[in-house]
Amino acid sequence: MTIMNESQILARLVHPDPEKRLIITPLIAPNEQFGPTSLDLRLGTDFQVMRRSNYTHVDPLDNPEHLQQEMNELWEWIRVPVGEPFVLHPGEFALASTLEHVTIPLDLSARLEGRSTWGRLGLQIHATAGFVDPGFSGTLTFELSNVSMVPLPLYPGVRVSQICFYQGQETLLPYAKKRFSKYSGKPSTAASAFYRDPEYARLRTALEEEGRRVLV
Amino acid sequence: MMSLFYTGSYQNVTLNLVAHHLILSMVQLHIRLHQICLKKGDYSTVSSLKTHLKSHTLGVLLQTRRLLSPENALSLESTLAQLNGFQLETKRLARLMHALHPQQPKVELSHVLNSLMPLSFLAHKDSRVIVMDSPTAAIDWPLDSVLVERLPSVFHALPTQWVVATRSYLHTWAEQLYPDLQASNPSLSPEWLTAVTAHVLGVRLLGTAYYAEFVVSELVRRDFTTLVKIEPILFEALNFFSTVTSQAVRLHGITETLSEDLKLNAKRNEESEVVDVPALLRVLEKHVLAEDSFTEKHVGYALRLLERLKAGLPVSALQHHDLNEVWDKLHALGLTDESTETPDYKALHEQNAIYQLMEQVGETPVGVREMLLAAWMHRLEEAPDVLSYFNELDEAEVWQAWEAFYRGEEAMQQRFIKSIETAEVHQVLMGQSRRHFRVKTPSANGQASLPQKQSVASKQPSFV
Repeated sequence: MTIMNESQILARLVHPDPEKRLIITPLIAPNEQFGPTSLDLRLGTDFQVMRRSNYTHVDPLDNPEHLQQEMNELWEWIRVPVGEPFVLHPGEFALASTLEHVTIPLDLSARLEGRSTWGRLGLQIHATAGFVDPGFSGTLTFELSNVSMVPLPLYPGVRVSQICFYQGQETLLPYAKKRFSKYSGKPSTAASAFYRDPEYARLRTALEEEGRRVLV
Repeated sequence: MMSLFYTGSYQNVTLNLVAHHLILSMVQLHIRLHQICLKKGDYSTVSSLKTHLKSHTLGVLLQTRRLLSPENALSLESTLAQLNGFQLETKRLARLMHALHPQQPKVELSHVLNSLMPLSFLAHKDSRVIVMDSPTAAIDWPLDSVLVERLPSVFHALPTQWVVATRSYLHTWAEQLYPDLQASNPSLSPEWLTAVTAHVLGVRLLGTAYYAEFVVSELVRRDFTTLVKIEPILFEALNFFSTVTSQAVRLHGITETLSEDLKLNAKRNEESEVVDVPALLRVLEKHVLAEDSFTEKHVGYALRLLERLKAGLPVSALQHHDLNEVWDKLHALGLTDESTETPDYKALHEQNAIYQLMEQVGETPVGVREMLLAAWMHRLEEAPDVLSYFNELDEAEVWQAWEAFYRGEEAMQQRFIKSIETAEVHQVLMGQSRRHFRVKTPSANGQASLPQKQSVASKQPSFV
């Protein structure tokens, strides 16, 4: 599996076979966005920050319906109009997403990375989850954090990340059709749906059967 | 199933449109309830609302199935009245949710109105339209630079319904234009001329999306008299500007048949209400900037956006180059996996060939007009599919199918809203301005030029 160069990425963007075509839309200024082995992606307009004051923790073994409600309350959704900044303060963590919608063909996978321009300012665009599965379709989520000592104003539309692609054999487990996939098709920033992992359902059942926990 | 919309009887199509509207209103309630988070620990309120909404939804789906079945012996009017009854409970639930958890209108909605509406008749250059929920409509706004539009909160997330929010704006504008309009149709009363002008302005600014919203909402409200009086005028205006789509032709057919069936022709032919549409349009053209007008070009863009909507893609931008040509060039240069040629890298570096090819995959942003029309086209085509989807299921399967349907509809609406935001960012990054205050300057001879008028008698849209 080798990393694709700009010509290979470009060829996939215009591939005549829809199954093989890589979709990245909108492509606003390709000449500025293409690198030798990557394509820059832009920051979208919606952000989510944690409102921590009401919670000591979020327990994944709670009732999933209540957890969904708690997550709605825990994450504050902020829309930032074009031309205005979202200010990420030192040490702060926020979720955001790409302006672009990305659809990856079944024989490609991708990695989302930061741009060095922003890395030098202390912006990290993901914590540990930079890998994009074959068959993914939607916007990509950024896990933004500012590790510098000064606040960073982030404007929608700026190129904060780059995506690179790897070609391999076609997968039989495309992300959108994978059992328990949680983030496929999301058109905007998606908070964690960790509580929907199937192991928590089994743990809840086991603890209830043992009488160690009662779901309300 | 799409053919049903085009070949079904007008009664079937009418009922499908009204039932689909009802189902979309319920989708909004489910989305709203999904978003609601009351104070921590107040799960019982949300749970009881969920239970109530579930029983209402199941009731409506099963009753709609009965009303739309071929065995239904009720008249069209009685069936529409029953569907309308379900809408009352939907509205009551919407008001209840709004009281429990007030919702701010979406910023995208204000952006849509501000980018569509020329605000030249307001007093200040920084004039703005803001949107409020209907219950707040009674509040007097103290600034004359702000025009307040009202839209019930149940429709805040439904982009096709945003067209409704233009109506009071258009009426205010039509009132301002009345002194100029009077000469075009001297025999009409000021109230009637203003009402007609507001709707015609809607069609001029928003094209078929405004027309479709008008027809569907009058059917839902069962205001057939208003429908048969205004619709032919709007259809004539659409035809005049060559912006009729196949969906509009079908809606026009419904109105014609409905008026004949319900013996409403006499009401619409009263002499005092016959409007000289071309004369009205000529006056309006002095006040509507070309860049604000809905044209045939927008219909073409909307049709391409419709394909993207169906493919689950955002609709913020369109390609203007033939991507097959780019593929062929890359192939000829040996730069695709399928090429047998070996690339001549030295020559490629010297020619900067790759930059020229990259340039051609760039997209350009589209405007709100064509996005709204694409959303309406999708909605009109989808209506019969949605009803047949639920009708083919066992009663036990309906709830599961409903959950999948409303999640899909929610994703579609989010994608549409994301597209509006993305197009706005795209426009700014391309150096295009977002002007909110537009004033029409009359041409030197005081006459605005009109496109060549088409034959209205033929009713044959130029586009289809």
